[in-house]
Amino acid sequence: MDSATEEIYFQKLQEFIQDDDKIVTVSSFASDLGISLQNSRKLINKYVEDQRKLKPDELAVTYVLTGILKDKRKGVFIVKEDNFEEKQGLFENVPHTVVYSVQKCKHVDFNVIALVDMFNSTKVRERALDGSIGKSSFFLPKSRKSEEESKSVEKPSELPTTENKTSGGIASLFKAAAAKSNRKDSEKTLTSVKSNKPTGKQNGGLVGFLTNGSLNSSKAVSNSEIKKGNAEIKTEKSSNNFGNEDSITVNDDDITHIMDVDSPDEEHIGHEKHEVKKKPMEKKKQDKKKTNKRQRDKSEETPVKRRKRIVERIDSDSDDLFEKEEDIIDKSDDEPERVPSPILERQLAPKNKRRKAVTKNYEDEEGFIVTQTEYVYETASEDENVEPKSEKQEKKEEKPKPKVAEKKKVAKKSGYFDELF
Amino acid sequence: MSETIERVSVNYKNLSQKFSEQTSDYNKQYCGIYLARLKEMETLLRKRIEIKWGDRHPIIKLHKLAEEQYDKCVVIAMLFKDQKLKPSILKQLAEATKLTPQPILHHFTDDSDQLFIEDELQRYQLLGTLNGKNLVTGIACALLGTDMGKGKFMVEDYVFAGYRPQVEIPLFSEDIFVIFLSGLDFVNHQNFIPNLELCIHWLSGMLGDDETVSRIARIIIAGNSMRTKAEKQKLTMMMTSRIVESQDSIESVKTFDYFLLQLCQLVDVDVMPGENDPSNHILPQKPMHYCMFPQSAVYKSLNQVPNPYFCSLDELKIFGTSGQPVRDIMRFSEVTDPLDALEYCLKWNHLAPSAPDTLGCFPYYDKDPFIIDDCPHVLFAGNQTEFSTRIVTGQF
Repeated sequence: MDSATEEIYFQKLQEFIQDDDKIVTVSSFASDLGISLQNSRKLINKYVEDQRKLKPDELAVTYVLTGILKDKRKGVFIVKEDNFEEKQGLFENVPHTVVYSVQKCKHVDFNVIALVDMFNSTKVRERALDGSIGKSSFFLPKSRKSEEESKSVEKPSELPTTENKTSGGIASLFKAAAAKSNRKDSEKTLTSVKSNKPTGKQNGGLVGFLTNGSLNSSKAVSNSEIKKGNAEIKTEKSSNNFGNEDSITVNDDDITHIMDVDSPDEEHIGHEKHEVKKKPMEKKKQDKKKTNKRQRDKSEETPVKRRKRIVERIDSDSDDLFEKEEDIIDKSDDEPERVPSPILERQLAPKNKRRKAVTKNYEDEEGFIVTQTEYVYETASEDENVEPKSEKQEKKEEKPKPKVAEKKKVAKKSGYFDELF
Repeated sequence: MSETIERVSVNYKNLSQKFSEQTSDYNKQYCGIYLARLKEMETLLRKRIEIKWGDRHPIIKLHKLAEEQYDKCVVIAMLFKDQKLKPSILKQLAEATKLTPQPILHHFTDDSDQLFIEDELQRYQLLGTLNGKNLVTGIACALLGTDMGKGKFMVEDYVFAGYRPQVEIPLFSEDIFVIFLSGLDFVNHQNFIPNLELCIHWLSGMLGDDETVSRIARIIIAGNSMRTKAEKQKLTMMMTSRIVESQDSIESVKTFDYFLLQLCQLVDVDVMPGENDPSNHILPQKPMHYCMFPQSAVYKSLNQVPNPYFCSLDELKIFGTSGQPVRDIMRFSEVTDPLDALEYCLKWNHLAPSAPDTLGCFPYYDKDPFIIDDCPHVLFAGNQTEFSTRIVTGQF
């Protein structure tokens, strides 16, 4: 480490301790500056020595003593300066001493010091700190992107294996999904893995389940939108280039638990079944539409001007009969909107194109004019961030249109007003 | 820039397949496991009989004792300990209906306890030199004695299956360490955060002591990582009561996951389920599902393993449980030291002899996976009151 860099780090350390009044530990300093533990320790030791010469009573330092105790057991103690000698006397020989933390405040609380490095969801490190004793093969590169895109699918052997035969398929499914976290978010496939940091986009049930932790996803399990089988996994496979076909044969029940995440993109997972163009499936689809419908209603709480709209209508003073009809119409509107092409479009979506919502009007079996939102792929812009905004804008644009469509349907009962639109 | 010291590497094999192979068929009676156990032990006991008593005494089946009169003979059978204080479903029902208040007991031995031997067809009460205080139900043994009539057998000598032949312990060029952790109790992790942090920092080598830390090959977490005590539940008439998972339990799983994440970045970790962990209750316990550990499960250094757990590190065999069999032996016998209980397990050649009588286990009918057919070099039991070790030597 050259002197200039060292000087910068010293200044940083000074800033943390003197200006910010922070508790600085060896590991937190190494983590913040991205340096090795050994360098961090050296810097802190040097800082403490220098400060002690200038201002002996300014700093409060804690030490860690390591060695063999007098009763022949191994001992690792974290001690304050006050009882340093007392703890040192417990050891058989002179123990190994290391500075653990430095702070300006004289009052030392070990619980507070522990909170500096405490493992929590906001400070998850993908790999051990530099200088840690470990094996290089432990690290599973979640954050690598371009390198892992070409390799991750081909390396199921790198993924952790399980001894449990009954859950082998699920194991590989999870691990495959985890490996996918290396891909860019822009791909937006169903099983794209979330990064540890929460992002605005939440793609894929597996992703959300793995990275959000089991808590949220476990709550959502009871409200799973979809009962998917091989169709979904096949779609995932085609879009994500997973080579592990064995994972496709996972039981439906397992998949439902996995795939349940509340997010707008998740809504369209259910529609992938339209790939399977078989007549007997239609009935199932209809049944599943109903199940999907209920689940979608619940899941629609978040994006929700539609829900608000419904609530407003309920709260309004309009005729109850018409409200119910409108609700029915809304629901019937939702069904065809949900079912079709987004699934196909998602599967077939090339990378450089973006989805655009387009409203289309058609007359359904009962004679009502239904406005349906379909997604059409257009040439995408280079800026990935534009897409979600544009989608949101499209969704906003869509929202007044269904309102208009619902009014139309109401009007149609009394008279046909579709010519106005 | 950083001088990374590499951790020692050992050749690892998981030998716990037989504990993961049970089907979900719960329609079998528990007598099947006893029959399988007796059948497998009989082969081993016959060798022990030959070594100890030679061919002097005939080996007779229990149902043939009354048919022919022998001065002395040898019988091979399973021990059954009739204990007045043993928990019973009828007593639980009585308590549930509050007909008869039952005292709360933690130890179920009594002076009135009686020993019996049983095989496939017959049962005899035991008298004589065999002290039942340190014995439990389910131990296969060979007894030398005389039929007293009226269903009683006078025991003069006895022999157990003993230690199995052991593969010679491998020699290592340098010391290699394995860390055993148990009873982490993450539900109350706020009470010992500094200790956990210190453990991780020490394992990373941050606190010096590189020589020792770099030779730590593996960490085995032997159960009860979430809780050490079961959640209290109300006694009801229904014997199948459900405990709704509390928010504390869920948070403890999450915190444990992050703890494992930091550990897995440094060293291989084997995580066993314990009695109070989210896994099945009866033995063998299946590995905890890695859905619960989304952060750490992606590391290949994390291994979810069953309980009991058998592995090999460079041919050094390590076998153990999360402590349920040892605790059960101590509850139903006068054994007070867990090391004594472990030693008896090796002598009896069975890891959990009290299963399925007082320790819940899967209803095997064609095999008994708890028989120690491969003598380990290290036998461990987690979740005991204190850490202690002992070196034992087998007789045969």
